[in-house]
Amino acid sequence: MSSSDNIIEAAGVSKTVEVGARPLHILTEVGVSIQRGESIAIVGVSGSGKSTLLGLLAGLDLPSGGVIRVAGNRITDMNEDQRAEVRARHVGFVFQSFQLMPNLTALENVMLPLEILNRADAGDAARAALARVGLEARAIHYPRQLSGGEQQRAALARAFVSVPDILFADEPTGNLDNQTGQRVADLLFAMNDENHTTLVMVTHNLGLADRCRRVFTMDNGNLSEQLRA
Amino acid sequence: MSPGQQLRFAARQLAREWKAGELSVLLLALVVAISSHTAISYFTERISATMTASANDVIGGDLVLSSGRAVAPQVLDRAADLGLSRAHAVQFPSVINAGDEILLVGVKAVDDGYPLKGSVKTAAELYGPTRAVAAGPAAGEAWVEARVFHELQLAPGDPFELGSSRFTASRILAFEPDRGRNFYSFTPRVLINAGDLGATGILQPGSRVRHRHMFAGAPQAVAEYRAWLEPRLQPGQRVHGLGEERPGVANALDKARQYMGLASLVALLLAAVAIAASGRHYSERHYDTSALLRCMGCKQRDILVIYLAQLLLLAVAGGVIGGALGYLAQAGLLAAIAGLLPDTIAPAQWSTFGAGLVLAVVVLIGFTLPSVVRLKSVPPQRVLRSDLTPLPASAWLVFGGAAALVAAMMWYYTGNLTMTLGMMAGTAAVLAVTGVLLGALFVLLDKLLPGMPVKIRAGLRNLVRRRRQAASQTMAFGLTIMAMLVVVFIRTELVGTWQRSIPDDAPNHFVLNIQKNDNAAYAQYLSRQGIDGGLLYPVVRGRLTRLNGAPMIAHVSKEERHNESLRRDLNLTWSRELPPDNEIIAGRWWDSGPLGGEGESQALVSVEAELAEDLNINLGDRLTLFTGEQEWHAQVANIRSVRWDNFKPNFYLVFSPGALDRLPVTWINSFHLDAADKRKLAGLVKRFPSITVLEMDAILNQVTGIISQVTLAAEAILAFVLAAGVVVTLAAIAASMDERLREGALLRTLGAERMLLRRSQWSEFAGMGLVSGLLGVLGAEVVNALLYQRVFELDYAPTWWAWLVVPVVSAVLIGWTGVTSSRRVLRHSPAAALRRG
Repeated sequence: MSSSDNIIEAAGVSKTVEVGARPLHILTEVGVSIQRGESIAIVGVSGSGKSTLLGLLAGLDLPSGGVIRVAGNRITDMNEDQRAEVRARHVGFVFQSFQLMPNLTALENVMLPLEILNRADAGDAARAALARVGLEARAIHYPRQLSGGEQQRAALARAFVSVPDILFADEPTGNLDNQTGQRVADLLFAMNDENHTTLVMVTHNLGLADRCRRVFTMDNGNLSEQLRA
Repeated sequence: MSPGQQLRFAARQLAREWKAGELSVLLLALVVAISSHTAISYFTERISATMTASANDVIGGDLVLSSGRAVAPQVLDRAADLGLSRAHAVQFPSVINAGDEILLVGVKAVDDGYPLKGSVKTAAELYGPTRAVAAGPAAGEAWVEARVFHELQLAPGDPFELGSSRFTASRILAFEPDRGRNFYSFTPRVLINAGDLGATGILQPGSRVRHRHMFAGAPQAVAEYRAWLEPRLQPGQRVHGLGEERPGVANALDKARQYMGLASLVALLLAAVAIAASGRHYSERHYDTSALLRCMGCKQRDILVIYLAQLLLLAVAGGVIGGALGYLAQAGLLAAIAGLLPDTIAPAQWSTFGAGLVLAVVVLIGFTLPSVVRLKSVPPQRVLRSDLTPLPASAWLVFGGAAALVAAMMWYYTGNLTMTLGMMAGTAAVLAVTGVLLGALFVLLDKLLPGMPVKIRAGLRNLVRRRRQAASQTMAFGLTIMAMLVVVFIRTELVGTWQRSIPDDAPNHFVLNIQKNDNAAYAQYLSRQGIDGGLLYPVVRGRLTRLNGAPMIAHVSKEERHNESLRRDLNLTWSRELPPDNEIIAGRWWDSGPLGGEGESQALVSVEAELAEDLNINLGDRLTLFTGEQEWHAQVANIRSVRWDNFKPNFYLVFSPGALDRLPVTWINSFHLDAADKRKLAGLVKRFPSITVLEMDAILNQVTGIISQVTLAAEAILAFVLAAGVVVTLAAIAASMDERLREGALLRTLGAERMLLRRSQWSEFAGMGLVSGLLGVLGAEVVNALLYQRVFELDYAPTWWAWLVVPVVSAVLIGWTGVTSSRRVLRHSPAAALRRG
């Protein structure tokens, strides 16, 4: 498979922060290539650097060293607004704490990524996305009026409404009970398949990780792929 | 995001936040700031315009042109072109006769425009009740002063002759609005209609007349006319406004305007504190939204536009609501004091509302901008790590920008650089000292905490732990207290000064021509009537004829050759001591040591400063005077300023003891008489027929009325400032409410009782209040030391009681307000608070 099929490529990525006067190495020479349509999981103990890597791959932050390409864009050479443009066009997010805007209804939350892209069909597309996650009846409800599972389903609708190339998910079931988490995970993978989206997921849930095509382990700033049968 | 979508998103978010009650504190702070400021602006502008109009009644117009000869028609045409209304009075001395009696009087012939401002007061019977009319006498009638009736033994309705005409003395003239500071004169007034003047045949070429043209109109037109007129004045012509004619009243008005400027400045300062505190809180609440928007692809510019649009919408809402409330507040206030105000109050101007709207935008954007700009820099990875916050804005940018904005607004609104710099210096002192003191205090508290009772330890620990927030709140409270103290102190001093300037028992009647032989009997008579007459002053009439041996006219400029003091007899007196309200500005009083030169055996004279300047009289000059048939001399020992508005006998020339012994002396006296006792005057005049009574009560009432209005305005404005201060306090407390709710919930979850939390809140807020009170007093003392002397011309002395009382009151009030506002911490469900996290 050629490198042009890689929707994400990271090489020699490191992240170092200053803690007091001492440098703290969070990531060390991390490299990874992810193909279009793949699903990968990153597992590891708390503080191992999983979320930091997710943020770097999504262009939310810049590494201290190394190169990252996302959808053909070398985001490590871009400024913040250029990276925002890449995120708007190619990336969707699902978070552990849902991150719905409390003062917007479920429908308005789902419309938001399309409004940022100046899409005229934002309302219709958002209604369809909410229908896909079974929340069409809750469209005008505010996040505080939804259960945790419903909030995460609304977040999934928001993440997929713009049909992103890549979905970054940070512990998507971490705030949900097992049963609800299972349903949300089913929905996540189903929508991922439907949209041919590349899924990059950080999780502690090994069961959830096992549903991904590839699994990486983050350990003390080093990333290694688990070999699977 | 397109601009339309940015605006829609901003408006939608704003509406939802308003519905959820999250904007209430910021909006309330803005509304109170704008409403108090707008109310003060409306109130001061309307009262000020009304007061100026009322005060200008004193000179009969907004501007007066006095001239020794007829004024060129183009001068009057120009006034008409500018839309000014006019009135004309011709004044000249003449003699009237009734039967065999003749009397020298001051005739004043007025046209139909008279009086341009205020009203003439007349009575139907001697010392009877007066009636105010906004017109002069009808043709053939004359309104004359009471003493004319005595001197000529007339009764109201009797005829008298002036020149070739016959007039009916129809009413007793009690008050002319434009008499100005020459309110007592030895020639009694006769007021006639200008239409009758020609028929008298008195005025001939070369007659000594004074034309008085009064003008009134829009301030800008008056100012434009004055600027046009001044360079065109002919010799013997003078133009003057209120300030020149009645410096005392003008001075009180100036001080009032400055005080009101200060009050609106304080409202602005409080607004700045409230908005900055609420704005920072507003910004912090939007970190998560901003991070999420950026995560989803919003650019930094989009974020900035969205939040600036929100602020703009909020400012417009706050400006409109605040402006409307401000209008209602001032309307209510004016209605409440309607009894003290003239019938016609200057109308409210739409421009004041517009200015409030602009101010809302400037204040809200100006003071929240540094916080809001941070929103565009919220790291997008905050969606993964909620502890990430944007880098703080440069302290220089935040404080420097805010200080520059405050200073610019202060200067714009007050037009007074000294006051602005004074307030800024006080503010800077409070901030600097606060920083140092609080730093030291927190270090000390940290060390002392372990030994403190548990009841107060928790609250004080909160202060130490939240030291940055506590420091900013203490500074906010300190500034608020400082601002309010400045206003309270200055108001108290000003009102006291104004009221002391005209005490309730100020003399309102003057008695002239008391003969030497009648002195004792006169004093006894007053005593029997229960009138406190006080001292009698000797008076000699004399005309100033020569200066250092040469005629006076040779020493003065062309313009001053028509000076009244050279053309009429002056009232001269002698005194051993410097009269009260007089101040030596050159030379020495005769009791303060040897004068040198020819010694004290020579007659010495003290000359009033303005007269000395007009007539070019200097220390050591030799004046020649003429009294009756006698010519006599005196040497100028000193030059002295006089407070003409003190309603006591004042003199241009005061001589050393013994200087007037050889001259015919009469005596004058003044006393206070209530309106109810006016009829006692008739008995006094009957008992001593030679005396002349001047009734000053109408003029005195006019001036005290103005002072009352000014005082009332000062009181009302103080209430607005206090209200604004309370809201600032609430805003500052509300800014830390989220954190308090979370901590309270956690403590309650861990088993803390409500009583413990309440005590903790009391110790925290009361401690903050105590320190704020001390800082506020310190700042107020610094500001007042500057303002008292530089702006208000008041004597400054530290207010020692405030150092004790204010911190205690502040501790109690801020403690109570803080605990009351934090009741939610005790009532809110711990689970809900922790879930919101």
